[in-house]
Amino acid sequence: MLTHLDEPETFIAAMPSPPPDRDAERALVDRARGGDVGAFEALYRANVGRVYALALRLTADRRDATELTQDVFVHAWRRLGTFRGDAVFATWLHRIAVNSLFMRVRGDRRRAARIGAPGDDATGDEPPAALDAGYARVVDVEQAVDLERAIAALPPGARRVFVLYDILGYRHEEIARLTGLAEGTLRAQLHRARKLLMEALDR
Amino acid sequence: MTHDNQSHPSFDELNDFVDDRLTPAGRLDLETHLALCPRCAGDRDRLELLLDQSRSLAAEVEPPAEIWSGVHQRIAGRSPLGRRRSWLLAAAALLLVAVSSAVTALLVRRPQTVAVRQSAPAAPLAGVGLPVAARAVDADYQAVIRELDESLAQRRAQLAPETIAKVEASLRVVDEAIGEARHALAADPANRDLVDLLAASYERKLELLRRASELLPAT
Repeated sequence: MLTHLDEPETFIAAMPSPPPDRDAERALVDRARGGDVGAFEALYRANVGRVYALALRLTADRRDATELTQDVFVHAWRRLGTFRGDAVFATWLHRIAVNSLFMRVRGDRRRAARIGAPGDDATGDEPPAALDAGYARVVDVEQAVDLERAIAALPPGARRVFVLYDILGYRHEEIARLTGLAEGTLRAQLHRARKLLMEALDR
Repeated sequence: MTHDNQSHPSFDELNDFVDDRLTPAGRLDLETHLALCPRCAGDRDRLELLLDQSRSLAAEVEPPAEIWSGVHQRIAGRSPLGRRRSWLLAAAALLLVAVSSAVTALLVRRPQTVAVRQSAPAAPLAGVGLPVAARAVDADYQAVIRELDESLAQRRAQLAPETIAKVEASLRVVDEAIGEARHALAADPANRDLVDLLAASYERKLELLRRASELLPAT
């Protein structure tokens, strides 16, 4: 269930959705595979808060996060036939989201390389990304908003490593594969992110 | 490195400490220092607090309402892929190679064509050298891509040259990603993440073609 906090610039917190009923979920997936958009919408409603949170934290941009979330669900619809019931649907979606995001990042890097644009995010030297919207938690709202804003303001490369490792619990080798970063670079990005966050929260 | 009261651990070492990446001897040494040095102990506490807070951030964020309408618009009238039988997929892939070549040849002969797109690197030899799961992804996506590709090719003269150039540049980037994913899969066929990556690349290509089609004037 999602909870809306009625504050102008704050958002919208999220109470975690209840754990899925696997049988009900499987039934919805089966109906959606047959082209039932209503069943797919039910799957969407149950999972979109989590996918959007991931997209927003990784991109730090509401428009990008919105596009990415749309892409993830369109992609999921087209690939429903490959979803095997041995995984939770949310886990399957999560993989699609992370892979879509990093495929997009690689595409952006290629484009930047072609036009000679500086500031590859692997160096983390770009100006901080702006976040025009934020998050809140039902408990510790202000603290969480501060942290979310500080995460959003991190350089993109450092932010992605921090989100994957410290929020989502990915292992170093998994992050290295997704980002293409060497493990030493990855650790440097992670430590840099943590240092910047500690400094930001101390202010 | 050992630490006494004059030699404080680096921030990297503190990170390795909280991540449990130090050797037992290194950990013991640092713990000894932390017990004696309030400043470093304070840094460790702040770091651990940051990590605790990060792990307890909300798992869900309420999305903008327009996301579903966008998804609905893009999936309406289209059935999910991946339900056909493998022999049919293989046949579709072979057919695609033939049709794709024919379209390319047709484009090359078109005098009014502003720019001729080379056939995408992912299209030829569809499925060859790929694991079964990836072959299905390959064939499924390419069947849909073919429809959009043909529609765009037939009416490309109606697009401004600079638009065509932008679309083609973007398609080349995506095709490179598809090529990379296919190569990686050939080397690591059991990697499901790579199948997802391949599918995500195709998804991007589909989206590009769809957006390009929307730029065409209505008939």
